[in-house]
Amino acid sequence: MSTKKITLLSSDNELFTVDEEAANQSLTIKHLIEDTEPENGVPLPQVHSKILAKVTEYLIKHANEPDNDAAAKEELKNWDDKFLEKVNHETLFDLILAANYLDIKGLLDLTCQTVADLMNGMSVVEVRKLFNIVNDFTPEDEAEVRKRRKRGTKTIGPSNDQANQSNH
Amino acid sequence: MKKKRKTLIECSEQLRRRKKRKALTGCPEIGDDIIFEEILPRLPIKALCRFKSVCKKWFNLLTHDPIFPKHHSQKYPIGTTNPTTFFSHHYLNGVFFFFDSQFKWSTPISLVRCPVDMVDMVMGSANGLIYGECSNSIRLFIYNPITKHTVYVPYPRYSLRFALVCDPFNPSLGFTIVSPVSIREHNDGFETLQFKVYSSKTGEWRVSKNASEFRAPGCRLSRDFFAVYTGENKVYWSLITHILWFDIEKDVAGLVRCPKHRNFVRPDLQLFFTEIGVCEDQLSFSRMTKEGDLEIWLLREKNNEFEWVKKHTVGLQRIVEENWDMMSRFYNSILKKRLNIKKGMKVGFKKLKKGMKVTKENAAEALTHFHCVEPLPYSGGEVLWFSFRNATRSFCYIFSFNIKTLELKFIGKIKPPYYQFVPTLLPCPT
Repeated sequence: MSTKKITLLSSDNELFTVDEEAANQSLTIKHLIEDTEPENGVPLPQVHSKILAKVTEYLIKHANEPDNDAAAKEELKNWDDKFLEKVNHETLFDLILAANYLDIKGLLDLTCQTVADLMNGMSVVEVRKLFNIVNDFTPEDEAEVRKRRKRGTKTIGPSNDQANQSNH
Repeated sequence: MKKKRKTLIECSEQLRRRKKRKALTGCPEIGDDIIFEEILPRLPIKALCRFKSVCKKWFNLLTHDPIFPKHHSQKYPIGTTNPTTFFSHHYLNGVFFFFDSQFKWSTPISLVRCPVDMVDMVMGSANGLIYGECSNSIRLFIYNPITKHTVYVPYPRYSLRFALVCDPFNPSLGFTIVSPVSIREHNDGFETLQFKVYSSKTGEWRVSKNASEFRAPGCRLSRDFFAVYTGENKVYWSLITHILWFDIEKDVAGLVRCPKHRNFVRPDLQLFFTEIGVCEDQLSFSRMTKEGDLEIWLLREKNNEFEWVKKHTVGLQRIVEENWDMMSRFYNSILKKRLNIKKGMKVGFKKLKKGMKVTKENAAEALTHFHCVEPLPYSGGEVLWFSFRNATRSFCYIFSFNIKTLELKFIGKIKPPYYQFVPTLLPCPT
């Protein structure tokens, strides 16, 4: 019994071959095959071959997800950890974009969780740098935000005054 | 002339910014929707409080967005996977002390002064909200220490026990508070209860008609305001031998006997050794038995018939043996004082006498004998919570024990009364 092979075509015209079962984890690919039945591979013009190689690696590994086997699940989890261990931020973000575009829930969850874990130990400045965000607070605004945080934790908040007023 | 100069400066500023952006474009930009829907909801609340100051868009999202809390509670669900926080309450100036499961005094939720005028008594915490009584005994407050929302409710007279019922995902649906009030006491230790119900829709307290004269075992202990809300609009209170429940929709009350145990501790001490909590919309009942077993029971309900199902049993001896290295650091402060106090003990317990050394073999027995171990509410999963208290009950050491890995974790030292609390960004119901 042979399974049907699917060819994927990256943006720089590189071909990747995966089993149909593996490819179907991506809802976008699944729908593309159903709708258009392409002959020379599914064209994925938004994904570069470097990223698509990573994505297919993930798809092949996760093709037959174990349901009840605890040991196999553990192994798969370890593989997931290793899979993203040596990935730099740039590739990680590209993977998120690819997972979002290809609609692969497992990969999106995994990569987003990795970014979230990464952010958890970061300072505000590092986060701004990571997401390329320009600080649009004026110094006064920033002081206000900081003050509010302090007020909430150490001094009595504004709602206290309201409470007193409604008391009288 | 001045104007021209300004534009020049602006131009150079722009250039500088462009250069900066070029230097940073190593990472491809991922859309706001991915950040806001997929990444940020996976962060713990502590980190989110910090990231408010990243930019204006994030600030608005984290403080004013009505949908983000829902995303967050789905990705970072309230309950089992969320790290539990404990808080205790300083009675004099309404300060809440929080600490998280890493036992770090964490800002900004470590020390929160409640904006309520003066907090007299905390009555409980449910779905990330704290509720209690204001010191002037005129109002009750409902307070979310993370979002700093506060809601006030008029105080019903003669009430001591309260339970807050709300749907945390639909704050607009409002909330209900149920309070059983004792109206008569009987000689046989029973009392007649009346249920007062407050609905945020009407803004008034009413007396439940169907359950207007309800006979229940009397429970006049100081720690009796423990109420728990589980799904399907039912609230529970722990009495000494029974669980009292009230169904808001049907407006009926009832009693369930606690799971039987032939060799149980004295009834007056019993309240300290039982605890009720919520586990997947079921009532959970944790108990420390005289034999030194930590038991977890779940209450199953089918067609108004109740049934207790045992979920876990762990011997204290096992916990101590598996984690003796850690335990030996604590038994001194927990046990030594007691061994000195109770020097002339005759009843039972012959192995330990004054000044005798606590060893791996007899530590569990000693802890059980001196009633040191108190269970904490069980909310599902593989982790059991319990606390060791010192002789005068002025401090408690909180531990968590994983049933599968047999790992004991020291959470922290806290002053009773303390409450379990799960932080959430969801606002107060109104």
